[in-house]
Amino acid sequence: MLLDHVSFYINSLWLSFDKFDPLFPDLAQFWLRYSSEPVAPGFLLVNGVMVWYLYQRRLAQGDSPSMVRRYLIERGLFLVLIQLIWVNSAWSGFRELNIDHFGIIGCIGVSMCLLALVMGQNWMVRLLIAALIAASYPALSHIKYDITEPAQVWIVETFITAGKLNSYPVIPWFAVALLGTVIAPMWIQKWTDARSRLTGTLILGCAAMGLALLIRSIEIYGSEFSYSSLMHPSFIHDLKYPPTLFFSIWFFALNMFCVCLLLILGSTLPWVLKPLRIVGQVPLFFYLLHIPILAVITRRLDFYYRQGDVPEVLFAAALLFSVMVPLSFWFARLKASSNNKLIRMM
Amino acid sequence: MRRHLRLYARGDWQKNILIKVLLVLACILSTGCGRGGASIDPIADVIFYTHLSDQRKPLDPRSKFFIGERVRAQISLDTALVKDDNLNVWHIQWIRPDGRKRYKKQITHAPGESRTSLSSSIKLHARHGSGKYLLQVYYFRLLVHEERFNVLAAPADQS
Repeated sequence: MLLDHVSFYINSLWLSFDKFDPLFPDLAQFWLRYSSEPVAPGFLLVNGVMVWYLYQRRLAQGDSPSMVRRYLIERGLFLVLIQLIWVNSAWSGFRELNIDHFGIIGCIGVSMCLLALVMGQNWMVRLLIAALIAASYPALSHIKYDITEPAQVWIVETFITAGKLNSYPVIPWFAVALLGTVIAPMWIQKWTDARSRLTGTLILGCAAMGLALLIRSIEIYGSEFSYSSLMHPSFIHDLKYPPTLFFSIWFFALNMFCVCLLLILGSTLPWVLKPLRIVGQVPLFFYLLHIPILAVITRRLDFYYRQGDVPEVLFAAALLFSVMVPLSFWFARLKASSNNKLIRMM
Repeated sequence: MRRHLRLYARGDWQKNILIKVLLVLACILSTGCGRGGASIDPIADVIFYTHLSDQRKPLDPRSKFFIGERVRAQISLDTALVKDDNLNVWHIQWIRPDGRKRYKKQITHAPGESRTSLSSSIKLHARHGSGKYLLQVYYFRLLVHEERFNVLAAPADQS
């Protein structure tokens, strides 16, 4: 995510790059962009896992299901508000208040509200809902609507398909978040030891990958961009805005493999993950701060704005990460000691 | 299988799974590591012109144009691709002197469709500026060829 956002502000590719119809001048630029594509599915999966965890924890603490739902919906709406008030403006370095846009934080917020409504169901029902949405979404994603009608644009682009108003329509991403709520009881309750957790996650990843490869190979349903051959980068690159069925399943699988790697690194080389663990304590703070830092320095102060290439992006991302880790550490300590509701929600 | 079981028994199961994960990731990445048909420049020739003859052939190919003209590009494909009967997806992108996109066009050659060349055109407007323009040809979304041409403000600038 950090790499892609740094790229958005530093990389000259973005002078002509269209994220809805992407073209790449070389393989380095392709892999730079591709490396960030598992991020959005990862966000939604983790969101699903956290919603399940919070739901169970609150119930165990004695809250009624309706109280927990209210708690989750409150947090979901908080994210929607953050999207409209902060994130939209942050992209331009707070040049203007820009509320007529929606994005991934808003999408996570709405998904969280919807998850709150189905958390009372058991995991098989949630899996069935996710599968039904994922399987039927490709037919929905090409819905026709009048782009001159604001009401139609808001409804269709918020929920069904991607456009200028919103790149992250809720319906397909909600399915990914639902999958997070399905995996959560496995990770937290069922697979109690590290070995079964790793093996189970690996099996899930391999099964998802097999399904994704099948969908991509037959190219009948659920993938958009044509590919040249199995060995060509176009084979693993498909439409992200809105996500195709192949995209969702493929990156679900990659996220499972990443979880395996993190689990292994966490128990064998824990120091490697220390900076990530700090950031992971306050992910929203990290997200909300790194964008304006980039936007103000590059866009508003006109410093190296879209003038660099891949090496400059990598360097700037490493630099920004080294700034964000101590800031996240500071905020995590503040959050732990604060009773302020706003700070606690972050 | 015995070795597999021994690894588990010795408590090296984490290494074992790590190897599996890395192998799977290596397989995934290897699918996209080649450049397929794009490893060789599939473009034989690019001609810029403004008018066609009665026989639909480009007239007066050149590399300098003036604001107000319509630049057309005829992109001849390599013979290997002309004979290729698979689906081919091309994008032609015109880039302004300031690096911004002027126009983009997608061309899809379905299996069995005749394919010898690609074509696209843009109108040169003063608001897009004069200077070096760039025509880029993408094959399955990866750049395979680019060609520059000059755009001058007025015919008097031509020397």
